[in-house]
Formats: sequence, C-alpha cells, structure tokens
Amino acid sequence: MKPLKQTMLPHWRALSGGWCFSAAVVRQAVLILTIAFMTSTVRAAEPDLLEPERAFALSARFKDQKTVELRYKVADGYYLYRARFKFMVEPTTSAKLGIAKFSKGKMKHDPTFGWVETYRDSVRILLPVATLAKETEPGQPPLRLKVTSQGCADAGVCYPPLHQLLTLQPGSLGVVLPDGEADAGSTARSRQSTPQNMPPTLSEVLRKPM
Amino acid sequence: MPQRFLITAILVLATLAAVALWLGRADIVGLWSADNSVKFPSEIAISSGAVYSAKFTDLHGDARTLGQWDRKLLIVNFWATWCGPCKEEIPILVKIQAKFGERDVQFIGIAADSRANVSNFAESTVVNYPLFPDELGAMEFSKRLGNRLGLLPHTVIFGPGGAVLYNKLGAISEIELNQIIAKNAPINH
Repeated sequence: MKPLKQTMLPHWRALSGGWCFSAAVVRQAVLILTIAFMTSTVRAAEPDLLEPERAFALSARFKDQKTVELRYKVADGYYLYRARFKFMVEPTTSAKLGIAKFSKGKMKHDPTFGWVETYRDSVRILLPVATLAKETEPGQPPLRLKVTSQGCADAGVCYPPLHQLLTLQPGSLGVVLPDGEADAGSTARSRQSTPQNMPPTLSEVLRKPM
Repeated sequence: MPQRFLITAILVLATLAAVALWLGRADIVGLWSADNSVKFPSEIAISSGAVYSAKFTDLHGDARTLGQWDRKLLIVNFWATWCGPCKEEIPILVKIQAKFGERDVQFIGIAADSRANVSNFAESTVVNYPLFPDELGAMEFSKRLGNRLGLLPHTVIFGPGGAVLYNKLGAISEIELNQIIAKNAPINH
C-alpha cells in the first residue's frame, strides 16, 4: 500500500497545473484566510455607537482650592471639538469662572469648519474658580457646574451638544460619581439637548440597542 | 497552467474579499451594496399620519406640515450647523433636489439648531429646499424615527403615502440617492 502522501501529491499537482504547493504553505494560507474571515465577520457588522457619556467620559475634582480639573476620556474612534466646550456655574453658586486652560489637542482640517482643534483619547481642562472662599471650605454648599461638550464619531456622525451638571463637593478631590451619590464627593448628571416634558421616544419605549 | 492560474486567482480573490470585509467595505468586492449606516431599530413607532401631521416653521416664519408633500418622495434630512458631516452633504442634497424636483422628489432640512444659525447658513449657502430650524423638535422627531442617540446627519426617505423607504445615520451619498429615487420616485403625471 502506497503512503498517503504519495497518492495525494499527483492529484494536487494535477489540480495546480504542476505548481506544487507545499503542505506548510497551504496550511498557512488556510489559516490566514480563516482568521481574516473570522475577524471580517465582526468588522462587517454595522457599528454600534456609544452613549455620549461613554464616548466622552467625564470626571472632575478640585485640583486645589481655586481650580477645578475636568478630564474627558474619549473612546477610540471619537473626538471632541475644543471650540464647543462651555462652562457655567449655576446661579445658586456665588463662584465665578476664569478662563479655562486646555491640554494641547490635535489640529484637524474639517471640510466645512476649516482648521479646528480636536481631542482624541483624552482632554484635561483646568478651570479657575474665583471668589470661591466659602464654597471651597468643607461643609459649605457644593459648587454646581454646567459643562457643555460636543463631539463626533469617525463613523461619520456627530453627537448633539452634551450638557452635564457637576456637583463638586467643597474640598473634595473625589471622582465623578453616578446620580444620587452627591454626598459622597462630586456627581455628574448629563442630558442632551432634548425637549423636556416630551412623551417617551420610540427608542425609549423599545429600549433596543441600535 | 490554467488550473494553476485558477487556484492562484481564487486565493487572491479570497484574500481581497477577506481584507475588504475586514475593512468594512464589502461593496469593494460587490458582495452587497455599500451601506455604512448605523443599525436602527427594526420598527418605527410613528405612523405615517403622525409624520404627515408634524408641523415645523420655515425660515420665513410660515408653519408647514409635512403632509403637504404626501404624494411625493419626501426626503427628510436632519442636520445642524455644528455638524460637519451634515454641512458636507448638503451640496449633494441640493444637486439631487435640482435634478429630481420635477419628478415629485422633495427634500426638506430639519435643523436641530437655532433659527439664527440656520438663517446665517442659508445666507452663505444656496439651499433649494425648505429649511426648518427647530432645536428641540428636530431631535425629538429624529429620535421617533429610530435615531436613539440623536446623532446627525440622519436622513429618512418616505414614499408617497408615508412608508419609510430608507433610514440612515451618517452622510448619504449621491449614488444611494440616485438609486433610491430611480426605484421609488413617483411617475410624473
């Protein structure tokens, strides 16, 4: 009985027109194609875009008595526009804001806006808070700060301006906590520019992922 | 030799297909048409009647309901001046409106933006279809059409009678529009 290898080789040569692929090459080709097709199945799916709070994750703290430090962690494939940031203190707070200092972003040429500074990965913002003597003392009312940001995804869509309310506990160097935990440090609530007191949207009813 | 060529060709094509798929560009190899749109909920819980009764105020201050275009192929484009991809696609929409306006194709632009911003934009850019600035209402309407996160641009194409024929997040291409209109535009009367 002939060894299997010898019986197969002539058949393979006939198929390949005399070009004999070694078994190792064939195995490698099959492996590469298999991996490529397996990964392609994932990538070919339509993108699921992140909730804005996850695409542009905000944390905040008092860096010192006169400065609030804001940090955004920007998800891969997303970016924020520097020019779209806005900061306001709520009227109930006597504090006044100085001029924000931003970490260096990346200049991007936008076909419609021209050269704009954008942030990927992260952005750090130092926000001077003036006349804050009382607010920064422990036991005093928290500083309520409204932060607006706006960004887009590389998928070719833009998020509406995102308004987030930060409640920074005086003297706290804590992190941003979920809603309802204001007493533990600082909190951030966010909402998009959507109507108030409107009936639930289709998606809110269905609660289906995109 | 032919078999050798055949096998080589198959391997090359398979590799190209795999790479194209991996890049999300299945259209390169013609496996299916290009559609980079974001997936929407399969159902749209807004009736055609509700769509056609939706009322917006144009830049001249005139309130108009979408029902006035119920016999046309109605292409509703949600946009804003702060949205780069939105502004980028508008010249294409203008071009298609000019090309197919006489075939009962009607674009409208509903802007999630202020009246002042939209007016300024309209002064510097020729737009040959109605623009409706409605900062809050635009987003709500868009969301009801399946745009859960309120992302822009968002384009929805309604057939005569109000059936949703196409629903896309992200810029719509001239090729897509031409194909949809060729297939669905009302026959001239």
